[in-house]
Amino acid sequence: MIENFDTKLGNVKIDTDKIIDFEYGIPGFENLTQFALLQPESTFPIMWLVSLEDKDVAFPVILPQLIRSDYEIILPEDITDYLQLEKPEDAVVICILTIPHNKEDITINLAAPVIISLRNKKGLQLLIESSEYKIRHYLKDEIERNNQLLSVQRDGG
Amino acid sequence: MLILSRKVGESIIIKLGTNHVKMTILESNNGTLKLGFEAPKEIKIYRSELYEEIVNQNKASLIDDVIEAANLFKNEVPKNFSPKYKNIDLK
Repeated sequence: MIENFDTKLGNVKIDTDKIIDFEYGIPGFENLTQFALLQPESTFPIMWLVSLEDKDVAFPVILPQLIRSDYEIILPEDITDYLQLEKPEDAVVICILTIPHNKEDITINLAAPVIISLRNKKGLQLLIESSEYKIRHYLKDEIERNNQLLSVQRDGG
Repeated sequence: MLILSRKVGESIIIKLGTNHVKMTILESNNGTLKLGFEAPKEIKIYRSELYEEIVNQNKASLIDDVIEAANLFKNEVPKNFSPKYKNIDLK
């Protein structure tokens, strides 16, 4: 069923089958559970995790492999059970960007990716305790790192 | 705040609805306590500074102006940078 929702990106029509249920909320926004992933061409490659309950809440997100091609996480079994995941393609993994007015300060949160299940449309923000992935990675540093990584891969074969 | 005193080897139980978390003081060494937790899998336990940092970062991620933010980002990312990338279909 298609319904209209007021979101940060304006009034949008959303198929209610595509609403993502963040049953346990997102840290800091525990009272909001109904979200949608909007992918307007005009902001590509940024997508928007928008609240359908509070039109002021919208997180800019991207696929982490866009800027870190070797991004890898392992989901614990209780999470894969909850999300009913059987294979990696059953999940969408996105990371939240912080985009202040100064572009030098754009960061991406690789330590707390958002996992969305294509199987049961449930979502959650996972907190990874890892020395490699941090809550704030500067976009500039990541792009530089990724360029180096890709050029090594090219040279190596 | 409820304040309880515990010795090494002693524990406390926190009951949440029908679940409970048991926390045991395992070791005390120069002011550092080692704690053990027994809890159902669905109860997540975090160091509070990590959890609070994520709360703060999420709040900082809210955007005033969607188009301005998208343009700032686009200018930073080289055009040819996108790997295999397509829209996600939440069928």
